[in-house]
Amino acid sequence: MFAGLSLDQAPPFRAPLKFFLTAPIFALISGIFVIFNSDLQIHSPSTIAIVHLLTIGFMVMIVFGALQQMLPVVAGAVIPNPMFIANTTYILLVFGLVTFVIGFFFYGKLLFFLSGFFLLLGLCLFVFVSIFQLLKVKNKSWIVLGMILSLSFFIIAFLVGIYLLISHGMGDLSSYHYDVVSLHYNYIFFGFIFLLIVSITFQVVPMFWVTDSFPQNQQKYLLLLTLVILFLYGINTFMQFHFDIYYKILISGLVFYFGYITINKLQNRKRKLKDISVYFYTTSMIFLIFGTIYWLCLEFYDLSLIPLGILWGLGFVYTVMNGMLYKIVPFLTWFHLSSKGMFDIPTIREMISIKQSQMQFNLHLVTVLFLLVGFSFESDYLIKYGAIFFVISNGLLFINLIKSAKIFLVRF
Amino acid sequence: MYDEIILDCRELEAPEPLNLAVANLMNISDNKYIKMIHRIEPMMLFTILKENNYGYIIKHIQGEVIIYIYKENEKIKEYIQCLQD
Repeated sequence: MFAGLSLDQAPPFRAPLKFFLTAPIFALISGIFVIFNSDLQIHSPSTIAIVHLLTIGFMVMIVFGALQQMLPVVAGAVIPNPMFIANTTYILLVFGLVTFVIGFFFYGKLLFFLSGFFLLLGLCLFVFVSIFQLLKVKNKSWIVLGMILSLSFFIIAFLVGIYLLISHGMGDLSSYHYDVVSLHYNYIFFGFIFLLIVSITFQVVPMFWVTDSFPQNQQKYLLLLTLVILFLYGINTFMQFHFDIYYKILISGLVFYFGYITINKLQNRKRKLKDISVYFYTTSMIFLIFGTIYWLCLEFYDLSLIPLGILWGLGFVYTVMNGMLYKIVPFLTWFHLSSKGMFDIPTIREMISIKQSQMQFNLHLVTVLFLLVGFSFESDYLIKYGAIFFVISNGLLFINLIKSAKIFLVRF
Repeated sequence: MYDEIILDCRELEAPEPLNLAVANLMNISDNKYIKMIHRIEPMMLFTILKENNYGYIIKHIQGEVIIYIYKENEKIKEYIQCLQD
């Protein structure tokens, strides 16, 4: 079909693919650690290690893989020297994460500095290259601006994270330490992840699931209001104003609105074919809303923070990324095969069987429920079973993705 | 006068619109262009068109995106720009 056409602008398939295939492996390892770990308190070193296996090992890996592919799709921009940037970032991330995890498990201070160095290089390299390419785009859409904002928050949150890591390394935790930790969490979650998912949702929901596009005003106000609220929260933290409750109410309003409009779009899609990625997307929005309600409740009741991490982390972020992988990897397989003149290939719906992805969706849902109930009622039994389901779910995710990727890899 | 190939992609999911547009590129000529009706701006298609020396004009009409694709030629470009949709 593409015979005679130049498609050099698309990054090579192997550039984002390694990120997509490594992510479930790190998630699987985090599940194994949960199975064999007895200390799962919120700020314990082993919990920090496990959380970062998911945030950096799964989420950042997926985000970086997806960004390599999303830049041409949303902005017509391409990362220059894609294989060099992808390989360098990948190696630095893997080294950084491994030293980070070992460092926290054994509390090895030298390893904190090493991991800080590797992660700083890897994350900054990729983020700065991406922001630079996005800034070069003429006539920036709200989607492009949203991605720039999101990556900017990532840089701020990351620098705050490095400060926290060095504090641990030097054994010098200030009296403001946990306020700064809170700023780090909020800027990572709302500034980086939430803004990025909002921006990408504006692009991929109409594109992959045949819905009307999100109105420009809706895009503009959601992004700008989130920016303003997060900026004010930063001032609140540094000036110690203690206006946190107002911040929470305002940003929750935006989150509820985003969850509602996204579910509404998916429910009213024009082609209502059975598609497991829709289940993932809708479920993630439901967990986002429940998580935010729980977050608000924390102001009034003395509740554990761990269920919040599960609702937002696993329920929202992980679920939405898992769902997107089922669209992105088959799409890329199809695109790169077509662009090489291969015609005798399965359609993207046929690359991963609905039965297998449905099974993985069910496993994932059971995982979230077991962990949620397990941590809420402090049941070790349910937590360990939840972790076992999580390990199996990620193994199956890896197998499903590799099936699709192999259609390309066996030919080239 | 010019002939028009209409590609209605409003109810097609990715990558079908891209597929359809690229498959129809070989059918356009100095006297024939593509009118693609879409929900969103297909950025990857634009990059492919630019790389392969096809021209395109985008119009936003009542929440829909109309993309005209033609072989680089000033006359056809002027004709499309003057079209009332």
